[in-house]
Amino acid sequence: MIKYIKRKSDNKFLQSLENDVWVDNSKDAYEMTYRECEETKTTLLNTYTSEEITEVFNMFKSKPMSREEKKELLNLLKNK
Amino acid sequence: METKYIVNNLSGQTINGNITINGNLSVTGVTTGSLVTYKALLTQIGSQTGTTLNDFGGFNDGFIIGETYTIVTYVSGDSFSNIANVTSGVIDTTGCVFIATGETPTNWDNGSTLVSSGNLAVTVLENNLGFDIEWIEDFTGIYIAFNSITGPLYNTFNRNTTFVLSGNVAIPFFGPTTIDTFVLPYTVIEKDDSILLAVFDVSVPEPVSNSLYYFPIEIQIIQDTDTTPITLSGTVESSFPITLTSITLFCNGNYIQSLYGDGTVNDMSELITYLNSEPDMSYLGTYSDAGDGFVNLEMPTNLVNQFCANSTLTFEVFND
Repeated sequence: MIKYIKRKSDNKFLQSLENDVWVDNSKDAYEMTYRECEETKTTLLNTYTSEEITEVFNMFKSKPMSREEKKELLNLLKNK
Repeated sequence: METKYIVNNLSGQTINGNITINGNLSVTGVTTGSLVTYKALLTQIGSQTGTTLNDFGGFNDGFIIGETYTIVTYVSGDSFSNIANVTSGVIDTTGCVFIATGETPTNWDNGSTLVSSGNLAVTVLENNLGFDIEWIEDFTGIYIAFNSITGPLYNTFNRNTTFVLSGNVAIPFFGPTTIDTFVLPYTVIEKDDSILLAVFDVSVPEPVSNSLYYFPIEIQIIQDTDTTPITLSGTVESSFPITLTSITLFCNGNYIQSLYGDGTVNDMSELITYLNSEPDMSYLGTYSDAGDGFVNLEMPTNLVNQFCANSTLTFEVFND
């Protein structure tokens, strides 16, 4: 499963966090693992409010996770 | 005709040939056939507030068994004790929190105000998988199910041997809706470690929460009945003390899955005790000291096959 971040005001997807670039099509968006999404949201919340952005996921695509990410997710699920 | 006698309390008895039973068969243990089954009803309709039974759900005149309710305002005369597993406070008083164990309270004619949690409630109707399943709503409208002891575990729901069915209408509405559901074996962390249920409003289309009402799920898995123990040899990759004691499984040297622990062990004896005490690691089998710094793991064949069929399964202990 991968995630994107969408800007609610114009339904554009985040392509580049560094340059704060937003695009129309999710195909051009920055595809994130769950941890990348969490970290990206944290950074974006310096610019946007939590109401202005939302996360969108695609369960039919995946992105390799690091061992640390797997560990984090496993612990998160077991303790949820 | 050869006569076969069943001897009470003697294991390992076999009858060759067909059996005809002209009556009912009651089984109190686990049956071993080609398929094992899990059946459950999933309900999540969001938090609701009510002063009568009709306010909850509105359509069924009943509490949702397994749902958590809070008595926000208690009115004298009402009585919920017959259907309440109290988790906080005192039943039939304001502030009491309970899990519903039945649909109909003894008395709710006086207008007490109750609020439901809106969390996912799972009613298991049948489970002979050999382990319990935990359901969580991972993201809005996305639910995943996995082995409750180990968490998501490689090939628990192998796509080649797992048959999943679900209801076709998630919400209690008679007729077509824009809600559609997808259910399938899914890889959350490692291959086929979970079952995924996605509930979509296809008119948007986006996943939606609070749209499951006694939603039926059936999981069937072809059972590997071979529990013959196989002894695996494992290495200890870190020197003692190990502070974050974890293990990784390998199939023919290829990574399968890691199980992570946070316990500290100072020597081999403590390591063996730790591995045998951790629920997820001991789920794999029984660990023992093999000498010369190696660890043996005695694992049933069917579990070995889950990770590494017809190949060589090994493991290593490491400090994460």
